[in-house]
Amino acid sequence: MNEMKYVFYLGCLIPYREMSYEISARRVAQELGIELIDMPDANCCGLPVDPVDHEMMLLLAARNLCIAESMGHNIFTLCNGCTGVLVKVNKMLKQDRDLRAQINEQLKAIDMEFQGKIEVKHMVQVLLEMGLDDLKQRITQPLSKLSVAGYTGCHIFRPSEFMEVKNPEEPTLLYDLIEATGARSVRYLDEYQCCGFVEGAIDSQIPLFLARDLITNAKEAGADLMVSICPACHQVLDAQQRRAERNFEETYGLPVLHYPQLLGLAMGIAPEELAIKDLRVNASKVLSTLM
Amino acid sequence: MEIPRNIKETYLRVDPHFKHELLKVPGGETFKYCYQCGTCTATCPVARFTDVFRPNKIIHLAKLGIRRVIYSDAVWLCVNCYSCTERCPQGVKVADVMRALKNIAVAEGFIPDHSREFYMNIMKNGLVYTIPRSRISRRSALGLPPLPQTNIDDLQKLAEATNIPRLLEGAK
Repeated sequence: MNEMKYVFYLGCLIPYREMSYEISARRVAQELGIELIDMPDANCCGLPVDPVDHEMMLLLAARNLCIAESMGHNIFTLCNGCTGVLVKVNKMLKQDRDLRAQINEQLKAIDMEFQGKIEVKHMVQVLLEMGLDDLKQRITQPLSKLSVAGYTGCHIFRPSEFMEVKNPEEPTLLYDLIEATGARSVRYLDEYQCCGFVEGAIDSQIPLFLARDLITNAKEAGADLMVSICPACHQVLDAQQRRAERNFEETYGLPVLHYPQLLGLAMGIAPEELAIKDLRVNASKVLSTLM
Repeated sequence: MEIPRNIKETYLRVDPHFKHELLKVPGGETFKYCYQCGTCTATCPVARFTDVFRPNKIIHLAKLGIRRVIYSDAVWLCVNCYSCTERCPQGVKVADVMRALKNIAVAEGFIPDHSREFYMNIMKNGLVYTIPRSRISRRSALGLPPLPQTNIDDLQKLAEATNIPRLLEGAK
């Protein structure tokens, strides 16, 4: 399947809190000729249920995979968490015959069967597969004055057993994509450390500590802004940045963009169409002085 | 979190069967290879900011049969970032072991409020969060497609085949 047609798996957190990610991703996909077909009957990817019941997680993920199979295209995701779970369960069911038989037995109750016909891809993987050279040709306004700190997150490359990303100790997928926009990609201390989003439910302080580390390290390395590729990471770095500032009595003011927003700007798409104003930390100042 | 009383009375002793129980939970198998080097704790982002969470200690306690380890907040502090799993020199899938311990805790009726709420939300509207009306109307104002309408009957039928309904009956 080399066509640019995907089943769009949106997930839960994006419509709940990170609509700007969806808006910008759809806009950029349209510009690049990637056709996204919505999934009318999707459910939660399964990740939040894994601690409660492992089997239910497998079933929820398998149901999404079955729906996409019946629609006949690979899945396109925006969230690292959803990607991690769907890729993992897809591989587990493709490789482990016993598990597949067991899950398919249970899926009979809802008239579905896992056949293993599709792949699951995060937006960044789709873009990388298109090829960086191809992407660079679409850039009409290179962001050459910007220094951007990419925040990769976790589940897009860990565990490497399932994610199969090159060099899992130091994956460069996001840096390559940042450089493709003409911006300088900044490396910083602890850049692959988790944002701690899910910790918020147990101990709300820990994500603040982690956000502070990531943001101050990125700033010290000379970043004008950060870029994330997951709604959960973006929640911690952007939406909770003010809370972290109050908590530690410090000022950061570091804008955190979704990657498609950065790419969209470099492709000459108007900021309004990329929902730049939806960001909690104002990005217009940095963008207007540097672009 | 408070330890439920019935559990307190039954399990304060060392339980030699606990390790065998953990080995049987999918994901728990690899914990037996741990040789206590502490790489997991050294690489853990949570352990940097709290003294409560030390993955290698949790594994050690589980091996000794200190069942109490699953009735504390500690196992729930794992953020599932897989840094430890990636770096363990013994191939212990630490994050999966933590998840398996959570599964055992839940099977004994010990489930944190947020996990129960997530599950209930999924069974009610298919997504883990309840999306506010204001955001749904904003979607249509912006011309975004409507959110998926999950067939809840499907999810009910799937849940019936698992242990969940039995687990959460008392918890409601």
